[in-house]
Amino acid sequence: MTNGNNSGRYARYGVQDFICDPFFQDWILHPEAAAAAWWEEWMTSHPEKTETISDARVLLQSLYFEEQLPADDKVQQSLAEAQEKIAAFATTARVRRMPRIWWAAASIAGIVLCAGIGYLITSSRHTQLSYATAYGEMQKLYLPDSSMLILNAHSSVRYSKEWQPGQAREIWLDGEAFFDVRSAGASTFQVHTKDLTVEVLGTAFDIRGRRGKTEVVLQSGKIRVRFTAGAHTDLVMTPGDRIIFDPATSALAHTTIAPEKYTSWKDRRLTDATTAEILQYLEDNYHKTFILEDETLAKRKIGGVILLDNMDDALFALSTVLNANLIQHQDTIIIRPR
Amino acid sequence: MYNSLEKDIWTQISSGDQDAYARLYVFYYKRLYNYGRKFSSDIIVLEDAIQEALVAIWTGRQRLSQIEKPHTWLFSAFRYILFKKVKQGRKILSLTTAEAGEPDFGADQLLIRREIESAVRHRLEQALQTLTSRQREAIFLRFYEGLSYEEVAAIMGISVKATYKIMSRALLQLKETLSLPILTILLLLRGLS
Repeated sequence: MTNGNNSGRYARYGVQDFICDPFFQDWILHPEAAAAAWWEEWMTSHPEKTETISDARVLLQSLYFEEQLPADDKVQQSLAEAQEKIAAFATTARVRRMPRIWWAAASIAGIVLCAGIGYLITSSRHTQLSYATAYGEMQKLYLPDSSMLILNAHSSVRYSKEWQPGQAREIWLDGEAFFDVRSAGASTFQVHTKDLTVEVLGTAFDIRGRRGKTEVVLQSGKIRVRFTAGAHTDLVMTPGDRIIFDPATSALAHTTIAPEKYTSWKDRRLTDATTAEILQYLEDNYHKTFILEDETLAKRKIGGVILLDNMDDALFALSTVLNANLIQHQDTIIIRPR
Repeated sequence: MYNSLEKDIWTQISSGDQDAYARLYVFYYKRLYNYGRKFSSDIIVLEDAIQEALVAIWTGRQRLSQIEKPHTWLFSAFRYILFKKVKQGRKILSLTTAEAGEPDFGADQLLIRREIESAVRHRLEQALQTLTSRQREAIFLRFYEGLSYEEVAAIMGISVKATYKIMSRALLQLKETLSLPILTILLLLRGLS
């Protein structure tokens, strides 16, 4: 790649020409490459162009893309699955595999159910199953159709022990759960909460009913939300959508969010939340009460990840980031800036 | 950002080296994830598309030697698979009418650096909002992935000439929002002279 014959052309370039020039762009992209020397020399012999070139460089360098990368264990998991598939191709399979419907299949493998102090009630009359979690407890459940749900702390679900094919699959939720629903032909899957019903065919989403409000975040697939007693018109959500419904005011907020951040609680972590959101989450799931002495801290965003495996570690991390002391008295914690 | 791969990794794979394949898998998984994530928040679809594209490398490894630029080919194949799955998903799950057209390269994925002075940044961000999905994708492939115009054209399935057009229009639109005196302030802020 020689710029030599362009030397004369460049002398007449403005900012708009430089930014669109591939050789100029290459220099910005690879400032350490051989071409850099050529540009340095050219600028020395064309000092009147210094400002133009700087302007062009600043403009191109001001652009950047948010980097969204998967967790390492996800990558390893995918690799392991791929290697299994490859091994399966190698040996001619006699049995024809079940066709997977990619967009709806649950891809979580090998996670052990945590032993909790939740309980299972069987009502003999309607053979309904109930499951409830205590504060600080999380539980993974498989439903009669092999759909999976992760029940967050201080929450409960209720559903029939058996689901008849062709009929709607129904489940009642109080609190928060993440759903990973298998596609089952035309049979819809409905999650009923106090204020709304989410209806899906095959998908992954989170419903959070806390403090009187109900939030739904859709991760994968497509869902329809119906509101109890017609409090609002039905709405269809697509991945990344987030709705917050407040029955007291019938107000419905409809925004977007990166679903992985919202549902990272499943992996026992909170991602990119504000102080207020973290404290609210800890209150709702761990039976703590927080008193924030400096209200301005509430809006502060805690960039990155807060791990929730150990409550003391999480609180310590919070106190460090906020530069505050945490004064604990049983379940009440006062946050006092240092 | 990403650790690098040895140059002859593709040759190693075509001769059946499974360890080399595993290294390549991990390397490209992250890059394809980052790229594909711009088009869809549907992680399940994204992961399936990535796996399908990467498995295709192994199953078609005999033909790898015939592909001049396997790196570009992989991006192109992945893009095709991802778009197909997103469209399929829309059709099957359609509770209302299916949305037509290709998936959009997210408008909020292309950003302006925080160091830029806020009034200027705000105007640049507004200008970014006016870009088309193709313009954003072209800029991503060129300025984030560092691909050449020919490679960007091959991946997006358009001519090189069209790629130049798309890129220039986008960059000029951004340039239009700036005026020279403001750029001088930018330079002072960034400590360039």
